[in-house]
Amino acid sequence: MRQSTTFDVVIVGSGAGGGTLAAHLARQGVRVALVEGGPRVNTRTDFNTHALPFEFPNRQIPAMRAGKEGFDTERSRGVGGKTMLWNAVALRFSQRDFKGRTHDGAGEDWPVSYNDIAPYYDRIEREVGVCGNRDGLDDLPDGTFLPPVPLKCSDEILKRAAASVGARIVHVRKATLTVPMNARPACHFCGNCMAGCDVVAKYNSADVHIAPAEKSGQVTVFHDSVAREVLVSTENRAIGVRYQHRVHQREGEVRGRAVVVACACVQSVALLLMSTSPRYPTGLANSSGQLGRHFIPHFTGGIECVLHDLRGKPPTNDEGFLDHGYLPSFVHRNKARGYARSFGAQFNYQNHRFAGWAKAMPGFGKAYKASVKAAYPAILDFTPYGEMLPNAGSYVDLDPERRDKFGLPLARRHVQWGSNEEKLFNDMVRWSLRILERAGAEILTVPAAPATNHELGGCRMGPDPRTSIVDRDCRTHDVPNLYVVDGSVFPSASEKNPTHTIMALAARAAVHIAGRMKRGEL
Amino acid sequence: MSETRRQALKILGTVTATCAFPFASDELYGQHVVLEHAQTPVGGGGPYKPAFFTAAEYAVLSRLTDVLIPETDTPGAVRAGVPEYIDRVVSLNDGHQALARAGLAWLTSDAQRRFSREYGALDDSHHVELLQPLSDAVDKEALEQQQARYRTLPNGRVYYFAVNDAAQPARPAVAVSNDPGDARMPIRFFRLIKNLTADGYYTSRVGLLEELGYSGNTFRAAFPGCSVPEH
Repeated sequence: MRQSTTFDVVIVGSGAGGGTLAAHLARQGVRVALVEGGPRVNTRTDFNTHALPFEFPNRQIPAMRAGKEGFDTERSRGVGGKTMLWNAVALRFSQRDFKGRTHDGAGEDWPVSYNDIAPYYDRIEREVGVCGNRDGLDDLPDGTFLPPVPLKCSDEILKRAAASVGARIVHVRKATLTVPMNARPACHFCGNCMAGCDVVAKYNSADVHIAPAEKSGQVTVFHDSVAREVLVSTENRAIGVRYQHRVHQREGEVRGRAVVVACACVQSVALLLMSTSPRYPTGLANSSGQLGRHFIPHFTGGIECVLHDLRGKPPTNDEGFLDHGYLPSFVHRNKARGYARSFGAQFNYQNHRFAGWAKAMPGFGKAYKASVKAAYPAILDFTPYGEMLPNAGSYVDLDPERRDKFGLPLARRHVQWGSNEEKLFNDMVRWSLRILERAGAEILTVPAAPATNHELGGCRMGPDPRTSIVDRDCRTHDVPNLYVVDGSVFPSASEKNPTHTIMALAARAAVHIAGRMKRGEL
Repeated sequence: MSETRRQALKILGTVTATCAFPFASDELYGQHVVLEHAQTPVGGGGPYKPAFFTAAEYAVLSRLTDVLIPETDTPGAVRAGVPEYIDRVVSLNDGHQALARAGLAWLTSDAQRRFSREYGALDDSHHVELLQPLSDAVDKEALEQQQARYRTLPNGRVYYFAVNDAAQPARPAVAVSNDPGDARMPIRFFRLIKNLTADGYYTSRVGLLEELGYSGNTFRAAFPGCSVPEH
């Protein structure tokens, strides 16, 4: 490693935030060091994309093929981050999502509006390829889309049921190609996108953003480099990152004129909390004491059911691309719903190479075997996603005792549900069951309590340095050349999948950072 | 709302990292521990030698799995390799070992006591007599567990969740024992073996490809959409 070299920008994390930012900075002539805790992973050869469960004695399909490393821990370490194994849902936030407090009087407004972010959504859609239909919905803004994927029969059944209660199901929007683009082929519907897409029809930051930027010579990837600390000078400037090699443990440093933390919500918070100094005894950029606060993951309530109309039908090959439809928020239109925020739903994403639901079917013997076979083409998972409001009991901190294999303190997630979450959870499950009932579904399982997904918040964006960590450009209030670019900056979570907005924020931050570089401000 | 339920709902406390997607269907029973050394690819070789069960236990287990999922126009559990799967999971998960052993001993002795036969020599009506009450009890508990999560209001359509419902008292946790004299032990044993049998069968080549007709994992130039007019 060329430890003596000083880069323009050091970015920690190579996923949707860090990978996009690195590529956009590189295009503007900025020299970037990309520090990633995991190894390089080749999406064409390293994942178990096409494995079936019976190839393994315990029937569990490991993420990685034999002898390949990465993506085997909760931190999703590997070049490309979580984009390697994501489901690629790419939704624009609406003006309501950015201005939630204005809309329904609770939570926070973002310090940016839809119009500030829209040009960057456009840019991301054009360069990564997002399929979808232009539906003309106020709350789910249209974009520049590739052709949508046709709905499955089961989606059509749900679509009619939703329409009967005044809700509209649309084609899902995903960063997966439906026509070839920039030497990437179109999706060929082979199976489980979340096992890794071995042809890169599905966007991942390693192949689409980082590889071309590396080829240009503007980006140097420090893989297998686990960040331990963001270094800050006595003049209150971020000067680089100290890391430990994942395999041989040796420590190193990489220096730059600006530092960006983009290692996914909880780990970004953890890295800043670990980066203590006399000026920042409770964590870097934490003069407000708000670092780790306002943790607002999405919450879900998944339902499993059997669609009556498809029971006993010959099995069809519905596996490719996972979910094809999406139920956008609709309850926000009802001002008398009795709670703030809203929900949307993903459905029909179930992986057909497992039938874990079979053990919940009643009975045994020939009748049982026949009932499982009849249900197989008719099984459907339906999962509403709700937005939570920030509260004092929901935050990320460091475990005072437990450490990981690198000796770094483990990050802890604390979540408490408030009364708004309670009401929203009940209503979103109630609506889901109403739609499923109209669709002629027999309910197999209902959720007992909310589960978390899509981690967001912890370094929230806001205009006031006393109550937020970063400003509208993702720059920390405390340190003028330190940025945070990932889901941790979301002051409000929306109910919509966050990755598209993370990428748009990264593209916007790149313009800001490159502009400051050119003006000699960094 | 009772204070207990309020607590249960509101304080989730420290949560673990969430996977990217709630693929509930992918969860295999009894495999919460990552079994690293069990992830080597399946090789050929001779007949399977059980790692946990004795030969006698393995014979009873094998017969039981074939009663749960019998041969029809497709092979049953034994020919799909389910007993091997169960032996692997149980051998690597000591949380299930005592119950599996106690249950097989109970099955063996009950067959003798009630029908004066070896378990392997029972006919279909005997199996139904032995297992149907256990199966019914397992299904009833599962249904009650689901129903306890919500109820239908008098208008018949609106669901209301028990997590937020004063009408639903919190239920005490059920004590678990592996005592063969425990009347609930056979029920818990049946649930364990049924879960493992279903997982093992429907993740096998026979179960997934021949029985369920899985046809994914192929190249398709385009997704055909829904061609059934009424759908």
